[in-house]
This record gives sequence, C-alpha cells and structure tokens, in this order.
Amino acid sequence: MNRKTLWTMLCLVLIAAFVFSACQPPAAAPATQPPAPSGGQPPASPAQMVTIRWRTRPDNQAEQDVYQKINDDLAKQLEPQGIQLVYDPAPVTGYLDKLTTEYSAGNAPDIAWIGGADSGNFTPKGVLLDLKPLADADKSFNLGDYYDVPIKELTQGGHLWGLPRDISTLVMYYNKDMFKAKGLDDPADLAAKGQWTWDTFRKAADALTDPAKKEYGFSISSWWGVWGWFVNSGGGSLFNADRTACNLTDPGSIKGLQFMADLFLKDKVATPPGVEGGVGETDFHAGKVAMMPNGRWMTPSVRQDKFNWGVVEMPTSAEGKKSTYLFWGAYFISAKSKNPQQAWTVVKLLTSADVQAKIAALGTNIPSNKAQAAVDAFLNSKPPDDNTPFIKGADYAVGEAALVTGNWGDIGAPYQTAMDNIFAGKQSVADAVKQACDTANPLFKK
Amino acid sequence: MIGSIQRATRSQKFWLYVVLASIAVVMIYPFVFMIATSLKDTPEVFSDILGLFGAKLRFENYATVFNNVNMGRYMLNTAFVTICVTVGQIVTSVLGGYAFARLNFPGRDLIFRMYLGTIMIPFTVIMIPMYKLMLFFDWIDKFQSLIIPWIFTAYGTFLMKQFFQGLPKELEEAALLDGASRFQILRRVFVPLSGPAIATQFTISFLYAWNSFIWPLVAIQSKANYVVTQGLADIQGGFHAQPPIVLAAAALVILPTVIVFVLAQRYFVEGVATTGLK
Amino acid sequence: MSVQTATSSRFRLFKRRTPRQPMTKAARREAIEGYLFLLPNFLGFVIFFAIPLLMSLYYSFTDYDLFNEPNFVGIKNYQQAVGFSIQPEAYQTAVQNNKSFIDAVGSMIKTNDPIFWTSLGNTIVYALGVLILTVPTAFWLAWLLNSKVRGMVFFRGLFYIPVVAAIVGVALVWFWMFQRESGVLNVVITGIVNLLNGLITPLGLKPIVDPTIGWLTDPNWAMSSLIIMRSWQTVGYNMVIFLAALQAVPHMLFEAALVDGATRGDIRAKIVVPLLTPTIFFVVVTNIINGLQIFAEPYIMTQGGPANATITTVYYLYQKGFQRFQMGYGASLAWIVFGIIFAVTSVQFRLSKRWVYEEG
Repeated sequence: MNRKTLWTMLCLVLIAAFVFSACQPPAAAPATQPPAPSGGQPPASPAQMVTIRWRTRPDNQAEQDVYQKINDDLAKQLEPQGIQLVYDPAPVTGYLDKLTTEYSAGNAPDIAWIGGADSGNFTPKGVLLDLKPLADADKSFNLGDYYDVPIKELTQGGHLWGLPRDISTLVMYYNKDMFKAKGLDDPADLAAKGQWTWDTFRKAADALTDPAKKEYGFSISSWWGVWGWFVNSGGGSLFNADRTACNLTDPGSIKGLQFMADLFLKDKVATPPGVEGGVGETDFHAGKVAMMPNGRWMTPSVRQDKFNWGVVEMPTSAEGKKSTYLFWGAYFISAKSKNPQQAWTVVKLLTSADVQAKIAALGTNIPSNKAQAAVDAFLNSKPPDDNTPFIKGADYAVGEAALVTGNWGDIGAPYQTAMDNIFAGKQSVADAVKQACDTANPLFKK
Repeated sequence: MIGSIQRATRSQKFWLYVVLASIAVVMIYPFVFMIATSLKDTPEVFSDILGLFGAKLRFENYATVFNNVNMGRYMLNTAFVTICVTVGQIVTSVLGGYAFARLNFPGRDLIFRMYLGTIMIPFTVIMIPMYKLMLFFDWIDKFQSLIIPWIFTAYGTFLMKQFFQGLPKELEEAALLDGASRFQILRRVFVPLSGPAIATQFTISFLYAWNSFIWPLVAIQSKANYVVTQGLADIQGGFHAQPPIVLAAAALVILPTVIVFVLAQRYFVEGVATTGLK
Repeated sequence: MSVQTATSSRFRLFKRRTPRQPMTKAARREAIEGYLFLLPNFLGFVIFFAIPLLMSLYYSFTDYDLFNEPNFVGIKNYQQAVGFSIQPEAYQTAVQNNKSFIDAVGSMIKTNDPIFWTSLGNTIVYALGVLILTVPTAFWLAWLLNSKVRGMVFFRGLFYIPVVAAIVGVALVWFWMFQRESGVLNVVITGIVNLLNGLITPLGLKPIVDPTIGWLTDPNWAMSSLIIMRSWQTVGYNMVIFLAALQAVPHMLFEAALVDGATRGDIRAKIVVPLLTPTIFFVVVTNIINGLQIFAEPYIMTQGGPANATITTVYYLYQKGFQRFQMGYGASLAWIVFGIIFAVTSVQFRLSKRWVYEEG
C-alpha cells in the first residue's frame, strides 16, 4: 500500500486510541474528606489528603516564580495538616474568560484571585462562597488586620466575600532626567512643600512638552483608574453614594474631566491616550513622556528603564483636595469547592503578614495586611528610593468599587465611550457625560 | 501578454515587474517589520522607526521568549494537534464528500443543506455548550478536546463533494461493473485523482488548527499542554509594553506556517485555485 | 458542477422524488453504504455541533447567566435586541426645536439596544469594506499574474503569504504599525508630507498639514484600520482563486476575438468577466459570510472601542454573553446574526441567476 494510505491508517489508529482512552473512567478523584463528625469540627486525620487548588494571574515569569516558591514553602507547612497545595496560574489574556467558563462548568480552582472591580460581577451570582460563617467561627482570625478600604468593598451586604491579597495606589511616576534637563523642580520636593497642585502639575507638563522632539509632559492609558481619578479629584465621583446612579454629571465630576480634556486638547501637553494597558505606558518606558499615573504593578517594568525615575502622590486639586485610587484584588473561594474549610485555612495563610512580605519584595504590589513587617518589606523594595507616596495615598484613597448594584461591564461601557469621545474631541465634556449617564442609569439595580 | 491575451512587449514586461514588486513590498513589509522589530531594543523601536536594524541584532529577545514561556514544547503540542486534526479532517471529508457526491440515500440533500448552514454560525455561540460537553467526556485540559470535535468539517466536506462531482461518472461505472466495492473505488480511483483538492484541504485544516486561539484558551489549562497561540497570549500579557519581545513571539507563531507553505507552495496554491471555483 | 447549481436547490427542503417505490436491493445497498461513509462525519456533526447548537438555541429563550439554572423567558431577548418603541413626545419636542423632519422621526424611534444596531452597522461596513477593497484588487492582480512572463509563480506565492499567518500574530504586528506617534504608517506619511511640502512651499503654496492619524484611537479611523488590515490578509486568497479561473479560460477565444478586431478592453469586459462570474459569485459570497462574523480583530486590537467604533455583532455577543454573564441574550444575538447571514446568502443566490453566467 502506498505511503498516503499508510499515514492515513496510522493517524486513524491514533485517533481511535484517543477516543478509546477518553472512554475510560475518569481518574480516581483525590481522596475526599470523611464526613465531619457532628459538631462541625474539621477532622484532623492527616492520612487523608485534601487537594486545594489556587490560582493567581502573574504578569510575568518572575512573578509566577515567586508565587510558585510560596506555594512550595506553604505546601510543606500544610502537609501535616492534610492539605496538598497546588498552584494553578493562568495568563493575563483571557484570565476572566477562563474563570467564567470554569465557574459555569463547576470545575473552578478552590481559590482564585479576582480584581476588585471584576469581583462585583461574580459575587451576586452565587459562584463565590460567602466566607462570613467561616470567619465568624474562627477565633484566630482578625478582619482588622487588613486595610479598611478593600474590606469595606468585600463586606457589602453583610457578607465577607474574600480576603484582599494586596493593594495598589495610583501614583504619578515621573522621569527625573527629563525634569532635570529642563531645570524644573522635582515634584517630590514640591509635594513636600505642599506645592504639588493641578496648577504646578500643568505648568510642569507644559514646560516638558516639546512636539518637535516628540516629547510630552504627560501620558495615560485610557481606563477608569485614570479618568476616574480626574473625576474624583475635581470633587465628583463615578456613582452616587448608594451606587444606584451614575454621577458623572455632577459639577465636580465635570470640573475634573474638563481639566483632563484641556490637558490633551487645549494645552496639548499630553500624548493622546492609548488603548488600555497599551501604548501610554510604552511612551513612558521609551523616555518620551515625563509623567504617567499608574499603580504599583508598573514598578517592575520601570525598574528596567534606563533613566532615573521616582514616584510622587497625585497632585492636589485647586480646592486643596487630595485624591487617589486604591486598587485591590482578593482571593475568593469557589462556592462549589469540595473543601471550604481547608480552602479558608489556605486563604488566611496566603494573606498573612509574612507571605505578603515575601510577595512585596517582588515590588509588584503593596501588602493588604497592615502589620509592620509587611509594610516594612514593601518600603524596602526599591527602587524607587522613596516608596512612601504609595502608602500615604492609602489614607485618603477612594477604593476600587466592586459594583454589586449593576454589571460593571455594562455600566462602564458608556462611561468609557464618553471618555473616548472626549479625548477624540468629538463631544464636549457636558454632552459626553450626559449621554453616559442617560445610557448607564437604567442599568443600575435600585 | 499581460492578462495573457497577446505577447508581452519589453516595456510592458518592465512595468509589470515594477507594479508587482511594489505590491509585493506592501504584502511582505509587515513581516519584515515584525522580524526587524523583534531584533531591536524597546527604546530603538521608538527612536529608529523605519530602520531595519538597530545598533545590534538582539537575538536575546528570542531567548527571553523561550525563558518565559516554553515555546518549544508548545510548538510540539501544536504540531501534534495540527497533524491529527488535518489528517482527521481529510479522512472524514473524503468519505463524507464521496457519500454526498456519488451515493444516493434518503435525506442526503437535507443533511447536506444542514452542513452548509453550519458555516454561518459563529463559534462563540457554541463555546459554552461545547465546554460542558468536553467536561462530560473528561477531555478538558487534554489534547482530545483540541482534536476530536474538529475532525468534522462542513467546509471540507463541501469542498470534496464539489470536487468529486466534477469527476466523470464513467470512471466509477467501469469499476463497479468489474465488481469493485465502493470503498475500493474511492481508494483506488478517486483519491489518486484528488491531489489538488486534498492539498487544499490540507492547507485549510493545517492553518485552521495551527492558528486557532479562542478554543485552546478555554479548553486547555495546564501550561504543559498549551499551544503556540497561548504562548503568544502569555507573552503579550507579560510584556505588553515591550514590542520586541511580543513580536519575537509572534514570529515564532507565524514562521512555521510560512515555512510549510513555502515548501509546498505548488500544491497549496494550485489546490486552492482548482477547487475554489468548481 | 458549479457552486451555484449545486446549492440553488437548497430552497426546497425536500427533494422531489419519483413516486414511492420500494427500494431495490441495489439501491438499499447503496443507501447503507452512503450512511456508512457518512458516519464519522455525521457523528461529529451531531455530537459536537448539532447538540451545542441546539443548546444555544434553547439558551436564547432563557435568562441563562452562565452559573445558575436558566429560566424560560420566551422571546424577551430577541425583543430586547431588535425591538424599539415609538415615542410621539420626542417627535413633538424635536419639531419644537426646529429639527428637520428626518431628525424628528429619528428621535421618535427609541431602540431597545442601540449598541446592537451600532454593531450591526459596523459589521456591515466591515464586510462591504473588505469586499470592495479586495475583490477588484484581487481580480486585477490575478489578471496581471496571468501573463506569460517569468516569475509569476514567485509573485503568486509571495502574495499568498499573508493568508497563512495566524491572526493573533498579524493583529499584534499591525497594532504596532498603527501607533499614532511611533508607528510606521504615520512616520511614512509624515515623510511624504514633508517631501511634498519641501516641493510646494518654495512655489508659494500653503503647506499640507500632517494628518497624524490615530489609526486605532480615533473613532473615525478605527474601523478603516481593521478593514485595511483584513484586506491585506485576504487579497491573496481571492487572487489565487481568480487566477485559476482566468487560467481556465481557453486561449482560442482570445485569438478568435482578436482576429475579429476586438480590442483588449473589449475582450476583458465582454469575454473574460462574464466567464468568470461564477467565480466572482463564490468569492463574494464567502467573503461576505466571513466578513459578517468578524471577531478576532476587535478582540485582540481594540476591544470594540474607541467609542464603539469597532464593536461588531459577534464581538458584542461575546461581550454580553461571556464577559457580562448574559448568555441568554448573547445566544439570541448569535441566532440573529445567523438569520442575517442566511438571508443575505439566500438573496445572493436568487440574484445570481441574473448575472452569473452558467454553461447551459
């Protein structure tokens, strides 16, 4: 028989082998817990191991290595307690899609990290376990160990949905070399003297902008963390107090957005914003932009840049209002987890002060645990030499909202559309926000 | 001549080459850009935009890709999956196409029209039910999920049917009279004549399997089983602000298909052409 | 058999058969063989396609949110997608504000889901845009490559390379080429503008302003950018199909026509194009079917933005169904898309009888 037939039959055989292998009974499930003795005490027999699978979203290999090492260290600690710990990271692209599919099908990891804003979409759906009963029953656990802002978001409606993994505040990264080249005052000095305001910020951006050299004073990625800051700084907010309506039409919001629009369209001290997560950042890394607001997660990549840089708090508004965002993410336990008690043990460990100190050394985020050991570990993660702007911001920051009174995807979309139109000069700020609120208001659950 | 109506004159030939070469530049430039950028440094991407080469050729960008994602392993995985899907699709299309083209059975036309309809359904619609199906078979995170559902192809069956219908009936009739079974006819008469069609099917299946990314993203969880498009997604996520690394990974995903195509160019292009219009 | 005749009978669901007779032994044998040959194919179709498809149809009549049990809601999703309400008051207000009649009527119609209509518009623009850019260009290129000159096979292969490149890779490459400040396209345009200005300003003319297009950030340009990228990738595929059809045109026709005194243009228009109409039809139909389903480009490059300029219906249904947990709604959108594609294709088949030349 000729070669083609031979290959065909070979692959047919291979395919058949696969099909048959699929028909075998699924691999024996890991030994499950024996039924708990009455009284609800978790059994302590170490001979029956329980597997706890947990997941995070590492930005790069370095971060994944750190989490893997933490997993290995904790695994040794947990083995005598009958817990087998397995780390199951997933990449950034499609992270939520994958989680969604797994929650839908019921085979999600026991523990998964979800970003603050996104978690608000999951909590009302019944796929995440309410941890309040476990927390209340656990005498050794103290909710006060963590920063208030994320805890407030996580305890909406009298529940406790998850434990915060880390936080990050919005700060202004700046290129010290570019400031020096123009003979300008270092923003950190200005901030120390209480002179780092909208006005001095704008003047600095103006002085640093040189279109002929394609250098600009300021750049952003266009996402809610940044334009939301402008809204808050002007005295407004994204939602009303009980989060049942859009608040972009508030005069304070409009003031903030007008300031933002002018930077880009009138004073032209900023490069047009790139798509979220995209190009605004690249311009900064390339040394073409002097200032860029972002969270702590940008620090590892800025450390690779070839210029002197630092961070400073966001500028104070003309009325003297300090504002910034506090971003957070948390570990959530799947409602369908077979071993919630053990998962709770693991989550407590993962957010404990010493594990957080290890992660802080990475430089990617700020521990959510207020314990001094954790804070110190963070402050010592340099560069930048001065990490205090991150911590100081936590005092007055607005928290990343986990919107449970609506789907943030549906509501955020008209907000983003309004910003896109403002940046493109297609709509005035007043028109854009009116359209956004008109579209978004019906989508809130009253 | 141009358009092959008359013989070409010297000057016509010259202008023909000029035009074709200009268009070729447009077609190929993005690939040149991809490779050139992948060998630069991030700052150079912004300072030296048109230049093809930076201060030096940074092959270490490719090393970075391999250090961060196990591209070699992913390529093997993808090659395995692609070959199985391709062979599977060819086999089922040939068998099915022959059935539709030459055999009479009740419901034949109805079933065929249903097949045609499936080309018009976007994949995202069936993604969740498909995932649940994979869970049911316990194929999640295994290669079965990347291979077995995709062995059926409406487009391929359609292609083969059209092609077989173009072959003269006398071929079969003679063989049937000689007492050959249908399967023997298919194997010994039709298949050898189907070179261009099978080559077309091979290209389409190969490209489809190698380049697919949404389904593997959802169906495959362990890094050991990733395919190359997932490796690229990983790199894009971790290095989104560093174009050289991202484009180096993109090159690794694109180059194998380009190489396979260039080597077998004759068959592919002729195959697409002949079956496309029948 | 051409594509056209093979599928034009699809409008009749049941093939007209000769009056019922019991099947002969040979016919029964043939039928069984038919089923056997079809089996692997058909099994795959039923298990991995028909079943998920029926499930999604079911979901479209429910409020399925991916996690909890779906509840039947009838045609509510479909109403939400394509429905609209008429508001006479809005008409009155518009008239009072001195708006034109068309504007007033427009403000009277309040659609239930404006983004759905936006996405539909975007999708149609995209499909047509790619069609208009690629079909004539592919035809022209095929015409050129049909010359009996050396090197045509080389160029043919070169033009086909973009077709084989993975969309994820292609999208990333073009993403960087489209950058506003540092992308290749704008740098080249700036160079050309400067060159031209260098020539015309000494003559006293006003210099041309450098447009600095935000290919992916300007809502006016974003869709065009995706069209350009996709056209670049598909023109080779269409060209190859046209080329083969051209090569099948018998030379004798040309020689006879030339002898009769026809010009080259005449030959092209009156002989070649009509002979190629079945191929043109095939290319147009398949391009439209593919164009209406575009998903990967917005997913990778723009996520539907800026300002919904690149949101296409398939991307929108993914957003709603998958990312926003409204799978019932997403499924209904998918079936609406299917309905549109089916209708458009059917219309094309009917119209084809008028302009597609078919051998008798």
